[in-house]
Amino acid sequence: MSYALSTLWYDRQRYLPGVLAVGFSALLIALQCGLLLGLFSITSIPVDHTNADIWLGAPEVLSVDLGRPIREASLARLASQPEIERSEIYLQGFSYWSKPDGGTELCMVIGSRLDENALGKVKELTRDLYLQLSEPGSIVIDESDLERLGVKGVGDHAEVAGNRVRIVGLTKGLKSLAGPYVFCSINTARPLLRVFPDQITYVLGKCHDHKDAAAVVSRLRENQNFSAFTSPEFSFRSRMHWLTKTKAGIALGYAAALGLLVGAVVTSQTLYAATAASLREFAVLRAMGIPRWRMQFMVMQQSLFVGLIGVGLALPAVHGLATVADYFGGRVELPIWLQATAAIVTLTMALFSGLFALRSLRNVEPAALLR
Amino acid sequence: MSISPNLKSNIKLRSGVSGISITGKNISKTFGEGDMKTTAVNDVSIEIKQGEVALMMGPSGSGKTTLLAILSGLLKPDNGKVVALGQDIWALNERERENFRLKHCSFIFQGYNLFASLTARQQLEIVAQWGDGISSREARKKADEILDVLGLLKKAHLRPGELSGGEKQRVAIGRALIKNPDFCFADEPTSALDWAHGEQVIDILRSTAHDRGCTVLIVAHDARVIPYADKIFYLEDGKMIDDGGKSIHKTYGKAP
Repeated sequence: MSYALSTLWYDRQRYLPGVLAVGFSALLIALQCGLLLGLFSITSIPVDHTNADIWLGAPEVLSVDLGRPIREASLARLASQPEIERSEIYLQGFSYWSKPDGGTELCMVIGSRLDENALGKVKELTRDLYLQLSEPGSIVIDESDLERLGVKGVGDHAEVAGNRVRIVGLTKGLKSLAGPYVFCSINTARPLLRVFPDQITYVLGKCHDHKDAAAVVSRLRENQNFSAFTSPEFSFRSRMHWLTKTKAGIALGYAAALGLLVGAVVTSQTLYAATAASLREFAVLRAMGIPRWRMQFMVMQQSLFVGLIGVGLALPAVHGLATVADYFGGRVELPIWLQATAAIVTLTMALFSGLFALRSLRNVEPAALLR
Repeated sequence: MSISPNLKSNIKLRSGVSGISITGKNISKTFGEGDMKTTAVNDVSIEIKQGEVALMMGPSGSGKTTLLAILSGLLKPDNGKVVALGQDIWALNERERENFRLKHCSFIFQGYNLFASLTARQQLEIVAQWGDGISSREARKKADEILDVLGLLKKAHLRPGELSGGEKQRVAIGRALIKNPDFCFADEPTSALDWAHGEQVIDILRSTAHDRGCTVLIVAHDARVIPYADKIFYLEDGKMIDDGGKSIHKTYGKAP
């Protein structure tokens, strides 16, 4: 075991504030970003929970829920691409839900084909559900939105844009942000969204080989009458739009920077104090001619270990808190890249704290031992 | 305590040479300025042979510790020069002097100055590894050899908090000896110990000088150290007093 680690273990109470500060910083960054990712992943549910490789929409569409009408004839544009196996139309847009006992609520109507291989049908729609949706005026909503929409469950009626609809089933886990999702057939969706018969919102495509999607999209972009995206691109674009539009990213940046700053101050002070406590011992080594860099290296090793232990404690805690958040209806997304970024950022912070603590070694003066 | 009776069998010998090891010529050192100016060492010359135990005595504030710091390359004198192993150490630049200390000098201080978090073995290993750049396995072997000589092998795993004062000072000596130094500078190495332990420490230092050829310079107040010294210097008010031992006898009640 290295001297740095021996010292860290022996003096663990002294180093504990530093370890906790690093851990807290990592936890704050990972959990806040995870919460935000979870929150904005809701906006891309229509993209993430369907099977399309390519989305073709109105020019410069900002997010999947902000699609504008395009002509149904656009279907041919995508279908004619040689890499495309099949394509289909898709409707999506905001509408007004009138609650049975009065009051209105913004809702997001999604109309798609409803067969086994339909591209726009969310995965949560079971065979039983999509078969029932083929009946005009029938809809499916998520169970988490029942209260918000003022209904009790399957069999209840409501009105969307003045059209009577009947709830034939419920999905689970499709939480909404701006307005509850209302899933239905294309024919049901048209009056609810008040679009003309030849208007649609998107054309969805499936490639023979999904790796060809990027090439098809790049070709389609040459036509300025459309905007085309691969599914991952459109998902990311939708999330980023809401992240920047709501300025949540700025709030996140401030909170994370504050967490890092507090972590850096506590960690550097902890390391500084620990090093300062051994100045006389370091002075003996300096008297014996041992170069200063050896001691500096030891302090840097200590800061790395403080960082590693802090991050090691933080990551399981982040997962634990994410589970708790999930239990209470929150949504925390923790992709590996986010965990790695939080770990790298806080480890870098710990190392910078170590660099800052090195100034205590400047006070090592061997001659002082002989006064 | 059991100290190996023969240090020669455990540590590489350097004895056999008895030339001049270190010389200080016309050394002066003052601290402060104006009315606050104090002369700590005033035109002192000193010469110690290789393998000798030299004892520096004198009342508090006589300048003996300052002289030790100058001779060991830790404190620059205002005047005079120090030649050790043929090198004028104050003519060297900072890095060269640090290198000189690394190769040739070790120190023992009154207040052990051991890392609280490291075991007795690690206190020695850290010097061998960081100083000589040797592997941890080699450092451990070397440390165990020295601890064995000092009768501390069974306590190698203990930290300073678990050792007695005498044992701590022996670990500090071990830390100094693991470098196999040419010079060992000891500042009041026995003052925090009772005489039983103090005598053991002085015994070890004497063996180090006589068996290994290490030049040992001890600053001490304790008159009981006198019989163990090969040469005694007496300082008073920064000046070396050479009166045939009269001052020493007067101050300590013991003739050199």
